[in-house]
Amino acid sequence: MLGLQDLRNLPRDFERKVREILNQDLEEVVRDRLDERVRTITAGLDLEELRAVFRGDPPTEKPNPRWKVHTTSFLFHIRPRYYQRASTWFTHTFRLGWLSTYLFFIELVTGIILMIYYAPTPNTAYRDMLNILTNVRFGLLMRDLHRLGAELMVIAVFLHMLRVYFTGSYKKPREFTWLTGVILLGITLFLSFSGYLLPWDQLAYWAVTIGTSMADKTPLIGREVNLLLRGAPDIGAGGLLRFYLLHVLFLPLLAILFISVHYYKVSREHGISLPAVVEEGEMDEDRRRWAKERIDFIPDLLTHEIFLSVLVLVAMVVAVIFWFDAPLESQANPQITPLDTKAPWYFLWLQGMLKLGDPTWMGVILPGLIVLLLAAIPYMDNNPSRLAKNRPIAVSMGVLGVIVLIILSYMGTPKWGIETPPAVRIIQDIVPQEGVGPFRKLGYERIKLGTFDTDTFVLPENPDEFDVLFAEFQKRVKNAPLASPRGVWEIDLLQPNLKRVKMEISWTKVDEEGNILKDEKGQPVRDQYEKVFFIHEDSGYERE
Amino acid sequence: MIRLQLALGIIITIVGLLIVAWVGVNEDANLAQRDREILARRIERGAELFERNCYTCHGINAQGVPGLGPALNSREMLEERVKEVGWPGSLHSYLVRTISGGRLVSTRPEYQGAKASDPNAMVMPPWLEDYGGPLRPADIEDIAYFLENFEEFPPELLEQMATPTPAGPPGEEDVAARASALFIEKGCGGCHTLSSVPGATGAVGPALDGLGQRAAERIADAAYTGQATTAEEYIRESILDPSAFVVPDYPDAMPKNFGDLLSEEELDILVQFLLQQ
Ligand code: HEC
Ligand code: HEC
Ligand code: HEM
Repeated sequence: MLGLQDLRNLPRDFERKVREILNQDLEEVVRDRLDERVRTITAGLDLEELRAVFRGDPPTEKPNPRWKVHTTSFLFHIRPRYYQRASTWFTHTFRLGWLSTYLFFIELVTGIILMIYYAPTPNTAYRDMLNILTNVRFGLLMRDLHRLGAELMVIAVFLHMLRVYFTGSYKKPREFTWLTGVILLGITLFLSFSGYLLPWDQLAYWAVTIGTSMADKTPLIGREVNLLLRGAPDIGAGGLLRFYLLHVLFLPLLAILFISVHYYKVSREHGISLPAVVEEGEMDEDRRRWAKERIDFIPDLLTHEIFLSVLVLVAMVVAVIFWFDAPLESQANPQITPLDTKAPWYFLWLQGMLKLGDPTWMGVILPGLIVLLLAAIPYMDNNPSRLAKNRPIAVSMGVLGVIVLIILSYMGTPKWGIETPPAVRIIQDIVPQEGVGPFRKLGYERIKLGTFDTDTFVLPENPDEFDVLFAEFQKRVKNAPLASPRGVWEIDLLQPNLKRVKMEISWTKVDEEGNILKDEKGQPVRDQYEKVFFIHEDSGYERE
Repeated sequence: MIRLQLALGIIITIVGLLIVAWVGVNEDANLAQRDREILARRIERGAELFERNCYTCHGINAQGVPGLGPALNSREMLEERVKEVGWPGSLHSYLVRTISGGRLVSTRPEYQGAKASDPNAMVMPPWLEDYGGPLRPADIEDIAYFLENFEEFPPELLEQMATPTPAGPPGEEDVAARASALFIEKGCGGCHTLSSVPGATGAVGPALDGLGQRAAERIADAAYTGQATTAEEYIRESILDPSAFVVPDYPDAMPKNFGDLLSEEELDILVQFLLQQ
């Protein structure tokens, strides 16, 4: 408490204080104060030390004050004080584990921002997506970053697993690290997949419908698993809420838990493995000693990681602004099954497998076995050497596995093994149900009014893009496996800024033996496929 | 290495910040641009939904179908209508409400909608899924945006539209195509099913397949009350004076004013076409 006496003393105290300060070396006082602050902030480094750090000079005091940071700071105590030089070689880890962690962090930040603008119900989810794109500053950037981050994370985690496999780093004593890694791979895939549904567009809805219908095929408990995931026989309000909670709460918590365990095993218990050449290969002893030298985390690796963080983040921002767009199709509609439904690319292999046989075997049991096999690799592989040349079988199995995965993924695309009637296919390729396609891409202005008929059309002398596209359509219609096929485009204006396009392909009906069907009057019976759609002046397809 | 990475890192950070700042400067314009694009695409969807669900009563160009449903093809007219019925809200809300809930009875006796064929039906059924219809709230809004987009055609556009597509002498196929188009445009398809005309799926009146033959049977029938003596005359009479003979089991719901709505030439084309069916 400030008493009256203190108040009376105030002027005198103040005078004394001023005299005290004036009597000191001002520069020294400021430096001391500053040092104190800097030490608090950096958890132990003073100004001079900090300068040395930035210059790449050796520590200014003994014992190394940089190590102290690792005891005083929570964040730094997670990181080891030093690594062995060879384990930090770029070509040993490609920083892929680090990249996975960093992308997870980016996902957390962008995801939390997106959460502010999103409510997970069928009637609001899609509207909220549109709102993010048209009403929220940097909303598109956040959404695209979140999407790109998710897909890159799947890639990074997968490549990380491959590198661990090919460097043999899963071997004793790191078997358990590998096991937690396999769990993390699963978590990463499901994080991505659960997020896939949230925009509530056709792409999301049908990919997830297909995905969860696989759960249906689980022996014995399939129906229950499916109900648990979807909240009802079909995905609806319940399913969306469940996927949302999985995506923003359950799976992230699980990921944080397992990343922590994984990381603890890697850096605090075993350390990152040394490259096999350093550990057991033939190498000059001096060089080997050099390779095993310690490298301090502060400043060498810290600088490197900060540099990488900035690089990756800026590269992602650039990619998102100039090339990468997160897709958004029309609002989810349980009544309309799109023509080309497709799993997200990282599950195409599974869709490919499903085309090969019984869904219970191909969609549940076999994938389950593959995961078990993956988890069991370190326990089955009893070859003690990590050098690639000593593990020909393991290496060739790995290469084979990757090739099979690529082939299966290709088979998973709609291109493979799915027959669409030719007329539907031709029109779908020109104006897909979802997305832009070459016709819309022409843009409002270049789409001509009138009737265009494949029977009479001849390519004019100086064809524009529209003519070229129609010529291509003409060629495809004429070459289609149909009897006397004919295609017609009718384009007129319904409103001053809205063009109506009717595309029609007709052909003569034939029976199984190839005989032309005739009606009572002896006229051949025609069959047709027709699609009517509209193009608005402002829809901006030409810019996509 | 440390200094190199620091220097590069700083440069990259600056570049990154500049890019983000550049995006920020353009962001408002971009938001407005995307807003326009999304509205445009909603109008496209609305048009598609209209084409699929509403043409039977309101016509494929929303020009209305005599006897069934009113024209909706002018924003100005719709705005007038909102004032006329005393709706307190905006045109958008009027459209959304009307389409969502349908209409129990007609406010105008000349439009009887579904009541034309079934006295117990609502003149227009509700379209929103909550009320038993097939559409979701966003679909209904899309249709409303589409209807609000009906503006007057500026004269130069009208000219452009009038330029006929290059055509030779009218062959048989062209007449059939013309007749099919008329059948839909004039609203016949809203009440009649005719399998050779795509989109003609109405069920208010009898299906017109095989009419050429049936017309002859009708006039030969003792119950026939009209004046026609040939199949051709019968069809002409059915269109111009539907009450002369009302097909058994059907209401006398066919509009009586096709004489005014069809030109002499159009009538001929339709009659000849129906005779062939
Ligand atoms: C079964 C016939 C029928 C169908 C199908 C139909 N309508 Fe109607 N609609 C009517 C009738 C009849 C009226 C006029 C009622 C009146 O005048 O009170 C009407 C009125 C309207 C009105 C109000 C017009 C005004 O001037 O008040 C709108 C808007 C409308 N319909 C939109 C639609 C839309 C959009 C669809 C398709 C989703 C549709 N209608 C389908 C019969 C139909
Ligand atoms: C509002 C609904 C409606 C519209 C629109 C309509 N019709 Fe009809 N039409 C009927 C009904 C109901 C009948 C049966 C009762 C009758 O004979 O009047 C009928 C009967 C006919 C018949 C006689 C059919 C038979 O089996 O004898 C012909 C022909 C016919 N319509 C042609 C047309 C043509 C052509 C148009 C368009 C120009 C048209 N209709 C528009 C409702 C409609
Ligand atoms: C979210 C996913 C994952 C994250 C965040 C992650 C993170 C990391 C990090 C930071 C390292 C340090 C070394 C390095 O950067 O390469 C590491 C090492 C390791 N990871 Fe992962 N990892 C993930 C998934 C996986 C998967 C899928 C596997 C294998 C199935 C795996 C197995 C291992 C093993 C065995 C090591 C030790 C490698 C060594 O010591 O050289 N990890 N992980």
